[in-house]
Amino acid sequence: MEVDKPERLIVDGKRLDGRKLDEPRSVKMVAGPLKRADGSAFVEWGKNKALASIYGPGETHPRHLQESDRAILQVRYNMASFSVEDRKRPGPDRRSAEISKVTKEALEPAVFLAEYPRSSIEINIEILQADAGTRCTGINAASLALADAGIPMRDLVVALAFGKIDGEVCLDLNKDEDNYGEADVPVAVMPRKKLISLLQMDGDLSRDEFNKGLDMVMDSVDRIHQIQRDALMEKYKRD
Amino acid sequence: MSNRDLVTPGTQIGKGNLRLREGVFREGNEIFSSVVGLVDRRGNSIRVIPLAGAYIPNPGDRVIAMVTEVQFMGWMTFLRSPTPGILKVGEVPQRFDPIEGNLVEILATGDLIFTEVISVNKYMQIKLSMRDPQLRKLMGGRIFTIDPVKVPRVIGRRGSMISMLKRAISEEIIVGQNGIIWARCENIEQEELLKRILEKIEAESHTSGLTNRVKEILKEEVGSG
Repeated sequence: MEVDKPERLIVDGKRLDGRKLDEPRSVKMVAGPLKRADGSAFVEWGKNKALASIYGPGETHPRHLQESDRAILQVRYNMASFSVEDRKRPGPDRRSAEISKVTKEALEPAVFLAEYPRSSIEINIEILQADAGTRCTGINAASLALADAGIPMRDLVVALAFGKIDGEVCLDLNKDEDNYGEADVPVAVMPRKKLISLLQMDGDLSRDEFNKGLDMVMDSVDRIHQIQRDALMEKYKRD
Repeated sequence: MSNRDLVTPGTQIGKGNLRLREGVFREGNEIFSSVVGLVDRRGNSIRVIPLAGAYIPNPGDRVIAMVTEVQFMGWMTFLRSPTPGILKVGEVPQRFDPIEGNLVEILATGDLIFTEVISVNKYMQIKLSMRDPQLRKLMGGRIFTIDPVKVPRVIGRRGSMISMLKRAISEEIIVGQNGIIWARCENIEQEELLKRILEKIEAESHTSGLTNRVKEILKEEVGSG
């Protein structure tokens, strides 16, 4: 089902789904939904649904990837064929290879890799339903799953995007806004010291617009971080 | 931050000149938790008791391992750590003649052994030994696995939990530090009872009064505890 481009994406200061410009979508997180994996997390981010699992630290395969003084992360981001409107051809492709790589690099600075020399930590991110912003959803899920697996980390990683629609900078674009908007900038942040570990930009922004968007992200990071922490706490209060 | 508080990675749990134990790290003067766990501050030292995590071997740990490979002068074993354990032929009590002997006669692939970690170097190469008379090949019985971070709860304070289980179920229970538990029981009912209790300990490891609750179950099931 292809929707025609809406005439305007912002009406009376509100977006098509009723959000304010600096309002992220509703977020729900669960730590440890999978019993067989060493760690896992499920994140619902608006209409996005992502499931992340962790295996390891364990032996590295293939062997030549092994590092003698630290662990490596092996990230696999995958979109289920039923996650989008037109069935996605299953299997790895250029896009998922890129997202796997940037996810790995977004998580690496947060993990104490030197504690597990020669080993590998396997991260699987499965996108069950996509509605723009799946790499951010995936990073949030993966960081929560790493903490759930008991892997030592400096901080959790929070990912959130900002973008530009109808000439206005706003937070966390959904699918229509992403398709018909002017720019999309996913950002991953380690909230304690507000360190950025992922920053990509699709589209054009002026320097002022960029700074404004980044400020919006930084203002919302603590709230998302708190949701992640609550999810971890909830797991142990549950039982 | 007070004792037994549940914290997540990156939470500040203290500052100043404390001795750091597991699950914590320092940045400048501040001390943070690196895992999900319970804060435990005793005197001048601080740690976070992890609630999940892989087995990381330390010298002196007694573990249950499985032989995965027979090599020229030793064995490779799997002990649930990120890297395999190496048991050299000089570290087993049996005499071995390198010309006439065959390593498979001592230990073969698939054998379970109760063994001790003697060293772990910075590349996480793990050396094992079976020289102590308590260390041996395990025959028969059944194995159970639990989360390695929960092993201290199975043993209990000064061994209270494990000695209670041994009295009530079977004398032959061995708890490896890596979360593998071997037990030989008289009948399958006792095995199942042990399995149920281990599952309970695993699920409720972060709550207090666990030993008493297990005692209640044992009283109900076997009339002792």
